[in-house]
Amino acid sequence: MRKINFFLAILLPSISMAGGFQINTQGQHAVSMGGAFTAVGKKASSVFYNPGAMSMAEKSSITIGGNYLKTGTSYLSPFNGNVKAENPSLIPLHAYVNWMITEKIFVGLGINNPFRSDFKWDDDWEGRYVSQELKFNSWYFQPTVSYKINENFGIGCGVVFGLGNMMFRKAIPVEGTASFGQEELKINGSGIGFNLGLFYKFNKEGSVGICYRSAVNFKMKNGDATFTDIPSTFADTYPSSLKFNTEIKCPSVISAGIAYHFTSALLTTVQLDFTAWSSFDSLNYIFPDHPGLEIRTGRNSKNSICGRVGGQYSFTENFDLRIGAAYDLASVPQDHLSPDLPEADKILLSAGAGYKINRMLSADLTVGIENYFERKGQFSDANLNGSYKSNSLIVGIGLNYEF
Amino acid sequence: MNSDMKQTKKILAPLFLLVFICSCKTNIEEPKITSGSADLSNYLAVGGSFTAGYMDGALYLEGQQNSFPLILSKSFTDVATQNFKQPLVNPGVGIGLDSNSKLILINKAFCYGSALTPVNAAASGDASDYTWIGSQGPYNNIGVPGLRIYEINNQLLGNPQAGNSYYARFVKMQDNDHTILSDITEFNATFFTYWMGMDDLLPYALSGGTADNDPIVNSNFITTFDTYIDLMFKTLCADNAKGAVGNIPDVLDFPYFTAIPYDGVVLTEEEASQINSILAASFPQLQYHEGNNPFVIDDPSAPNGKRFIASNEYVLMNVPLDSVKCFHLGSYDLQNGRLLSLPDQYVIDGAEGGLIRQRRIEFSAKLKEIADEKDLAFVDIYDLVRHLDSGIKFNGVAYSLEFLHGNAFSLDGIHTTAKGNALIANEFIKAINVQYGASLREADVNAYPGIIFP
Repeated sequence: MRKINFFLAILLPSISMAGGFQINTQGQHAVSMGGAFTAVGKKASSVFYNPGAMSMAEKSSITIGGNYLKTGTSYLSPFNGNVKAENPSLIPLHAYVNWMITEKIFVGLGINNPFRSDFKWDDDWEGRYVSQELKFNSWYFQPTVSYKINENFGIGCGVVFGLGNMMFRKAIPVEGTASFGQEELKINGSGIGFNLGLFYKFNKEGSVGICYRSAVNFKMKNGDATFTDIPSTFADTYPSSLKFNTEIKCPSVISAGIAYHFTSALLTTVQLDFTAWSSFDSLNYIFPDHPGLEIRTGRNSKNSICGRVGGQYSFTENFDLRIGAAYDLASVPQDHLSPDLPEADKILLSAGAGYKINRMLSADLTVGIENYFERKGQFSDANLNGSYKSNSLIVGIGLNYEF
Repeated sequence: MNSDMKQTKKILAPLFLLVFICSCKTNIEEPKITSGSADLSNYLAVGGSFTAGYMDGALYLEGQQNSFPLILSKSFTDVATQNFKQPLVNPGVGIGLDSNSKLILINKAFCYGSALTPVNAAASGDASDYTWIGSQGPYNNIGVPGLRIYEINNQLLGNPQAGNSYYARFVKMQDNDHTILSDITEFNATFFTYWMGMDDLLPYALSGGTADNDPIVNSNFITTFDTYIDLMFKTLCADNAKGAVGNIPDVLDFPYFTAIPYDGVVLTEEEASQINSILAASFPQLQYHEGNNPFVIDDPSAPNGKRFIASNEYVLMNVPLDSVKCFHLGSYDLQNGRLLSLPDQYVIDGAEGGLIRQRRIEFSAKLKEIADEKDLAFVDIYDLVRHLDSGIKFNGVAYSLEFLHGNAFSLDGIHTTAKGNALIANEFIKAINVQYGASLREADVNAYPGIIFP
C-alpha cells in the first residue's frame, strides 16, 4: 500500500490530448498508467486528478515535472499528396504541493497546463488561407483544500484561476508584391473555474474516485491583430494593426474511476472521462472597430468520452513499473475537421517507472505514444478537404519530495 | 538497486524503441492514381482563346504558362510523361486581339476621383510575338485566340495577312495549305481536349449586338455549326483517340457584361424628382427615384424612342465611365438639360441577349450529342460558371463572377485568370475521371496567380 505513495509522477507528455486540445500529461505517475488516476490518488498530483484523495495521504508532498510532447501530423491533400505539419514540440509543466495541516486537513496548490495545442503548417502550404498556425496555452493555478471525513472517505475542492494565451496566423487572399497577405492574431485573457473530488476506499484493497473539473471560459480582450503584405488597395480592409476579442471555452471534465490491489504489489485501475466539448461550438474573432474582418468558424464539437486503464507492479519497495492505455473519442465532427485541430479517435499506450531514491525523494519516468486514427473530413466553412493522421510521442520526468 | 536498474532497462528499452518507430510515421497511404481507360501519353489541346491561355486582354507568356491545358497536363504527369509544348510568345506585354498589350491594374484618376482600373501595360502590343515559330512544332496546345468554328479547315487561316495572326505564328508552314484539322490529323493524339465556341459568341456580344453581319445572327447558323463539329470530331477521333469536350458557358454571365449594373444611375431624391418633373410630359415611362435607376437606351418602339433598360439587359464594360459618372451618359443631364441615351454598342438588349443564349444552348446541345456519340468526357463549364455566380470556396478562398475581386476572371472581364483556368482544368479532370474510370488529381487552384493589385 505504501508504495502507492511514491507514485513518481511520470511526466505526462502534454502531447497526449484528450479530445480537442486537452492534454493529459498532468502527472507522470498518472500518465504512465494511461491517465487513469482519479481512484488512485494519494500523490501531490491528486490536487489535479482528484482533490478528494489529497487528504488520504500520510505526509506532505511536492511534485514537479514536465513532459516533452512531439506531435507529428500529416495531411493527405486531394491535390498535392502528403503534407507534413511543422508542429513545435510542447513542454507542458506541472507542479503540485499537498501540505498536511492536520491529519484530516490538507491544503494544496496545483500549477499546470491542462489545455494546450499548437498545430503549425508551412506558411506556403495549401491550407494557408484557413490556418498556418493556431497555438493555445493555458496555465491553471489551483489552490485546493481537502478534508478527510473518515479513514476511508475524503473530499476536496479547489478554485482554478486560469491564464490563457493564443496566437493564430493565416494568409489573406490578396495578391500584390507578395503572393498573399498575412494576418496574425495574438491575445491573452483569464478565466475562473473549480475542481471538486470525492475519494472513497470501499475496502482494504479497493477505492473509487470521482472528480469534476469545471469549464474555464477564457475571455480574451484587446488582442493585437496585424496585417502585413497587404496591397495598398486593401489598406482600409486590412489595417496594419487593430484590436480584437475572442473567447475560448475550455470544457468541463468528469472523471470516475475504480482502483484495486489484487495483491499488495499489483494495482490496477480503470477510469472513464467525460469531456463536455460541446461548449466549444465556435471559435470567433471579433473586431469591434472593423466588423468586416470578423471571423466566425463553427466548430460544433461534441462531448467526448475517454476510457482509461492502468496498472502498476511493485518489484521492490523502491521500484515500480507501470503501464496504461486509453481510448479517446474525437470531439470534432467530421465536417468541421480543420488543420488547426485535426482531431481523431486515438489510442494512448504508456509505460513508466517509479524509483524511490531515498526516504523522501522519488522520481518518475514516463514514455507514451498516442496514435490518432487516420481520419478523412472537411472543414466545411472553407471547403478544405482531406485526411489527417497524427502521432504523438510523450516523454516525461517528475520528482517527488515527501516530508 | 543494480538489478532494479537492469530490469528497468530491459523493459523500457523496447518500449522507447516502439515509441520512436510509431511516432515518426504519419504518412497517409495515397490513393492510386490511374488514367483508367484513357491513354494520356500524347495530349493535344484544341480550342480558341481560353485554350490558348489568353487573359488580361492579350496572349502573353505568363498567361500561356497558366493555360488550362497546361494545368491539365501537369495532372497527367502522375500517370504518363508529358512533354507539353506550347507555342509561347516572348516575355513581355503580349499582344491582344485588338493589337493592344495586356492589361494591368492601376489606380486611375477620373473626373469622379480615382478608381481601380485595368489599363494597357504598354502603348501597343508586341507585334514581334507574331514571329513565325512553326518549325519548332508540333505543339500540344493549338488553341488559337479568336478561332471560329468555320475556320477549322480554312487554308488561309495560317496566312499572316489573310488569316489569324495567332495561328500564322505557329502554323507548320505558311504555305496556305495547313489547317487546324490537318494539324490534328498529323499530331496523332492519344487524348485531346476540345473547348471552343465562346469565340463564336463573343464578337457579336462585344459589339453590343451591333454586328448584324456576324454569322451567328443567321438563323441557320446551327446547321453550319453542326457540320463543322461533325467534321472536327471525325478528325479528332480518327485514330480512336479519347478526349474531353467542354460545353459553352453563358458569356453574358462574364464580368464584362455584369460589372456595370443595368441600374447603375444613382440619384438623390431631389435629383430624381427634378428629372421626373422635366420628363413627365414627353417621357412618362422614365420614372426616376432615389437610389439606383436603370440606364436609358434608344428603342424605336418606345414612346418618343427612349426607355429604361431591363434587368435582363446588359451594359458592356467598355462604356466610357467618365461620361457616365460625370456627364450623365445613359441618363438625364440636369446641368445641360439633355437626355443622353447609352449608344447601342454598349448595351445587349433583350433580343440580342436572347440570340446569344439561344446559340449557346444549340452549341452545347450539339457538343453533348457528339460527346455521347463518341464516348467522350463531357465537361459542363456552363455549370461551373453558374456555381461561380452563387460563389464557391476553395481551401478558404472565395471564387465568384465578381469583377476584380472574384478571383476567377482576369482584367479583361471575359477570360479567366490562372486561378480560373485551374478551376476549369479541375472540371475537365472530374469529367475524365468519371468517363474513363480514372483517378487523376485535381489542381490546387489557390497555387495559381490571380489578379495583382497595386
